[in-house]
Amino acid sequence: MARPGFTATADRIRAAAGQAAAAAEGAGGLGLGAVATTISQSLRGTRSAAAAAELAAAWDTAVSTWSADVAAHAQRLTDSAGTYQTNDTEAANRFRTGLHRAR
Amino acid sequence: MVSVADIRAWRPDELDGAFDALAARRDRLIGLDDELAAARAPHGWTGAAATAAIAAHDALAERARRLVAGISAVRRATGEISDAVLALQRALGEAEHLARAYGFAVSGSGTVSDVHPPSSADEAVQRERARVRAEVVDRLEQILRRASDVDADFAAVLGRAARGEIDDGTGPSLAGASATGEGAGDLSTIGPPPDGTAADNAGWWAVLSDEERRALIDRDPTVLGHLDGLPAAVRDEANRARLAGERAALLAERNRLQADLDDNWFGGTFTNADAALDQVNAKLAALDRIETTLSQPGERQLLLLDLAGERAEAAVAVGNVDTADHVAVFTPGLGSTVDGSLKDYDRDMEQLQRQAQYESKRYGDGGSVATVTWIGYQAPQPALGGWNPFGNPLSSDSVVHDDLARAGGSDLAEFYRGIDASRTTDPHLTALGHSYGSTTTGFALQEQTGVDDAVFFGSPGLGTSHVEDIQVPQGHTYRIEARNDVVADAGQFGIDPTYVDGVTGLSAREETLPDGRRLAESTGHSAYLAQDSTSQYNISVVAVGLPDRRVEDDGRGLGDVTSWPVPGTY
Repeated sequence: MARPGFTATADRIRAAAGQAAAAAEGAGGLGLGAVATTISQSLRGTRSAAAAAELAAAWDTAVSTWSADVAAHAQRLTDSAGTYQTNDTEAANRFRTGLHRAR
Repeated sequence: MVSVADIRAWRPDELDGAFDALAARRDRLIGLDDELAAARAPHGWTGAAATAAIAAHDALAERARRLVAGISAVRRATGEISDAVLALQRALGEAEHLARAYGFAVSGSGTVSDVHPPSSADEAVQRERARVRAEVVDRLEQILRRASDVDADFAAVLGRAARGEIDDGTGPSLAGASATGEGAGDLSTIGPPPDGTAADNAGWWAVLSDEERRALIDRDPTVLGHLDGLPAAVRDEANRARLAGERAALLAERNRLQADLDDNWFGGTFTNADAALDQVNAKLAALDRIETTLSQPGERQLLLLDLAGERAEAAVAVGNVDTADHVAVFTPGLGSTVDGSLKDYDRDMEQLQRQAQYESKRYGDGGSVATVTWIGYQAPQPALGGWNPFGNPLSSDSVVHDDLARAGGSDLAEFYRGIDASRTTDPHLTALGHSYGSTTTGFALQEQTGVDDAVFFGSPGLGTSHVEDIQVPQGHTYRIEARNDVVADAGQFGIDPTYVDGVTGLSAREETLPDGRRLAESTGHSAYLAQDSTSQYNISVVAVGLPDRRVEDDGRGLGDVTSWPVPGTY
C-alpha cells in the first residue's frame, strides 16, 4: 500500500491536470480571428485592413495551438501522476517481499 | 494611400461591435486565470519531472498572457480608431456640405470639381468661390493626413499583436497582462499642420475626436490659443488657461531682471535689462487688463494672447464669434497697446455690439452680433511720452512707414479667414479699421479673406489708391471722415480715401434719422465709435448688413483740398 503523502501528491498532480484540461477547453472556440476579420472588413483600403487580416490568422492559430498544447500538458500531468503512484506502489511491494523472506 | 472613397466606406459601427466582442473574449480568457494558476505542478512534487512540468506550464502561461495583452491592445486601438473614423467622416461631411453649398463636388479620389458654376460673372462671387474651393481642398488634405496617420498607428498595433510583441508586464496573472497590454493600444493624436493656414487648422481640428480635443486643450493650450481656424470657444478656453502660467513666467523674469539691475553698479546703463524690465512690466499690466476685460458683464472671448513680441498682443470678442450671425473685427492704430488701450476699445466694442444688435432686431434679420477688438500686431507707438506721434521716422516701426501695417495685415487676413473657416456657416463679416489700423485693415483686405463689408475711419490711407484692390464685394467699402481729423487727410498710404473711387462716404455729422433718433457729431480723430454718434450708427448698420439704412456724407473739409491727388499720379 502506498504511503499517504505520496498518494496526496499524486492526487494533487491529477487535480492540476484537471485544471489544465479545463483551461484548454475554456479557450476553445474563442472566435478571435472572426473579430479581427470584422475589423479588416470595416476599414477598406487601409494598411490596417491587411494587418487585421493577418492578425485574424495569427490569433486563430495562436488560440488553437495553445489550447492543444495545454490539453497535451494536462495529459502529461495525468500520466505523471499515474507513473508517480505506480512507482511508489512497486517500491513498497518490493520492500514487503523482502520483509517476508527475512522472517 | 487612403482615399476619400475609402473613408466614406469605413464602418465605425462594426468597429464598435468588434470593440465589444474583443472585451468579451478577453474577459473569457482572463476567467481562466484560476485554472491556469491551479494547473501548475503542486507543492510537494519534486524531482526532474516536476521541474520539467513547471517549465512547461510557465511557458504556456506566458503565451496566454501575451495573447491577452494583444487582445487588450487591439481592443483599445479599435475603440480609438472607431472614434477617429467617426470624426473623419464628420469632417468629410462638413467639407462636402461646404463644397455643395458653393456648387462644387468632391470625388472619391479627393478632387474638387466645379459642377454648378454660377451664372453671375460678379468678381466678388468668383473670389468667394475660389476662397471656398481652397478651403475645401485644405480640409480634404487634413482629412487624408489624419486618415493616413491613424491608419499607420492602428496597423502597427495590429502587427505587433499578430507577432505576439505586445508587452504583457511582469506579473503572473492574465488580468495583469491585460492591463499592461491596453497601454500599447493607445493611438497617437496627430498635431496641427506645420505653418498651416486657417483652413488647414480648421480641417485638422475637425478630424480630431472629442476625447482628443479635450486632451489637447488640457495639455497644450499654448498651441491652440493662437491657431486661426479653431472655434472661438476653444481658443478662448485655451488662452484663458494660459493666463496664470504666463503671469508666473513674467513675474519670474521680472525678478531676474530686477536682480540683475540691483547687482550691477551701473544699473542698466550698459545692458538692456532696464528696457527689458519695462517690457515685462507692460506685459504684466496687459495681463491685468485682459483679466479685467474678461470679467466685464456680458460674454467675452479671448481669441488671441501673444506675449512673444515687444508688446503684448491680444484679441477680445464681445459676444460669441462661433454663433453670431454678424461679426465685426475692429483694428486700432497708432499707440494701441493691450495694457493701455484694451479697456476703452472693449467698451467701444460692447457699445457697438449693443447698437448693432438693436439695429438688427429693429430693422434687420434679427441676427446676433459679436464684435472683436483685434490688437494682434505691433502697432506703431509715439515717442517722448506721446509728444512725438511719429516716433523715429528713420525706423521702420514709425507710423510714417507701412511696414507694421503690412506685417499686421498679413496676420489680420488670416484672423478673418479663421473666423469663416472655424464655422460650418460663414457669418456676415465686417472689417473695421481706424487710423493706422485702417491701413493694416487695407493691406489685409488685399488678400482673399471672406470679409463682406469694410469700414475705414480716420484713415491715412488704405494701402492702395484703388478700391478694386480691396477684396470685398463691390459697393461694400466705406469710409468715414470726421471734421477736423487731419489724419484722415494725410493720404500717407495711398491717396486720401476720400478720393478713392468706389468707396462710399458715411456721415460723422449730427443727424436725425427717419425714425426720429438724433445722433451726435464726431469731431477730430478719436471719436468715431462714440456712443450715439452718427459715425457709430453708420458702422453698426453696415455691420449687421443694413447698408441701405446708412447716412451718407462725403466728409470733405478744408483738409481735403490739400490732399486732392493729382490725376495720373497714382
